[in-house]
Amino acid sequence: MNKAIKKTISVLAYIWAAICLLTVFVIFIGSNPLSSLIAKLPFVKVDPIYTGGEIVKSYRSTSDSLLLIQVHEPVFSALIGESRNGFIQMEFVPSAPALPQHISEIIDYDSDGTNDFEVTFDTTTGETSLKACPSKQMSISVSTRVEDHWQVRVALPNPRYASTCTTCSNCPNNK
Amino acid sequence: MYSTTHKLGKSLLWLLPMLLLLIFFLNGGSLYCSDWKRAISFWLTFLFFGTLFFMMLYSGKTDKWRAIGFVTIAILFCISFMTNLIDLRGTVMYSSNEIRGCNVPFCHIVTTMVILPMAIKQTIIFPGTILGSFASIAPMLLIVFGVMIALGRGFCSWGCFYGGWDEGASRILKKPVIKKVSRGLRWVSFAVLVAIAIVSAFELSPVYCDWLCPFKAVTEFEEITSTAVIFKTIIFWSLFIGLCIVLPLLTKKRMQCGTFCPMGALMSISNKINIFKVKIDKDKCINCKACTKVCPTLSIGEKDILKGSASFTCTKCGKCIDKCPKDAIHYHIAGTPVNKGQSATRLIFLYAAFSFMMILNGGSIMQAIVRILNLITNGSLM
Repeated sequence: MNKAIKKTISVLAYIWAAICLLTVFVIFIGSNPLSSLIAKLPFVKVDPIYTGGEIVKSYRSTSDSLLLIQVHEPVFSALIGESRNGFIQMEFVPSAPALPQHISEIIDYDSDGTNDFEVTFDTTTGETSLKACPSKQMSISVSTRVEDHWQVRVALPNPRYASTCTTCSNCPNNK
Repeated sequence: MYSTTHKLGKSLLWLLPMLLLLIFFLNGGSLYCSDWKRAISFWLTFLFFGTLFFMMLYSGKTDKWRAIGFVTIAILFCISFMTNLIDLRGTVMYSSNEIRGCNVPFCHIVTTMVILPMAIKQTIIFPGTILGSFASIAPMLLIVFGVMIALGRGFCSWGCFYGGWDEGASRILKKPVIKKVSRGLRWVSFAVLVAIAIVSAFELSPVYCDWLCPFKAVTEFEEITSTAVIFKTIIFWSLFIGLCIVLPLLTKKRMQCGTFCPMGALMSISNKINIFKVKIDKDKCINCKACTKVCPTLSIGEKDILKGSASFTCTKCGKCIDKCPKDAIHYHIAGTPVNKGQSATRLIFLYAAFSFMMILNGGSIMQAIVRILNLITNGSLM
């Protein structure tokens, strides 16, 4: 190889090594702005399987005005496409310092004017029950205190794959 | 006499910028500390890192002084991390509460499990926070990708706050009890990387953290609430005792880092593009194989000696460089002449690697010292 080319490559290599050295300082000195930039990247968001998905509805309970109910979008997370089974997450956030002992709420998660299920739980024992149309195949998957609020996850099949609902005596709509 | 004075002067001269960096990164550029415990922790950390770097410059040996820092960091990091968790949540165990609230600290090893879903699904399959909390995701990703560019797999011997466990155990005995360790075992870590990346992506769950990570034994682990968790606990404790203590002790090799850690495998791939290499001068080499015997990650074999460079799994610890009786091995910047500027190359690499070690772990060391001072004065680490 030509001597001049060798020398140029060598100089470039030293410059690149110096950049590597500077990178060490930049990632720590510029940690806050660079982390904020990374956080804005489209692929840097926690999967809804952990966050519960976006909150689509937030309202005060009709039975207890001090209780805020946050309903998340249904989550059918899969690596590709949607999974057959998913969940819907709700948070019950108290305005008062403590959660009421008994909470019972009818939820219309898709805002179609039809009540989808009724969830009842005891915040001291954690005992939780669900009343829903059996054809919807819903069940409680999580019911727990998280920090100052209560979180409930209702497992549900993906409507894309599920059969259509037929009204029955267990349906909260018939209340 | 002149040579010693000259060497001392030169070492002190090159130490000076590092001392300024230490003051800047450990205490925000000030020598003032708000309370006496913080002052003691700052000055001890400052002296510790300052002495190690000076000794590297003055003695010309890298690995001996690096290892002292590296092992100390692993122990003090765990003291700092665990006591920090006890302060935050009252226990080192994490419950469903932390998972449901997305409050689990994100460690660098998780990167290996989130890569595929990040690329395919554009989400991170980990119950952590993106910004603003202790060990959140965005700053950790910045550090991981930054260090891949800056040091490549040098991270595994200079930055990783876990690696000191098996490194420490591998240095206890003078001679190995198990003398022959197959170099083929290095590929296990790549198999682990591929397997956990694929399984985690399909499960949408960080399976290595959940089931295999041995360092849960010295950081945080799941609250035992079911038979599955008991099973997981037995697995990670067995892996910790086997891979981080017993096997390194018997083989004098870093068995967890060299043969099992998926992060090590990922970092090895980044070594391919990293500019800092370890070269073997074939003209000086007498083929004594001292380097192959001492390499803690099985990264130098006969083929590598013939090729004139360490394998891509090299962690740039410097052990082979220090051991070589003919000074045939040295740090090298890819693209530069092999036999020229070796001191300058070593200095640039040491500045990059040692600064990374000091900046990433200095805070943990200082915090651990404060905790130990608390224990001495109040009888409690808190």
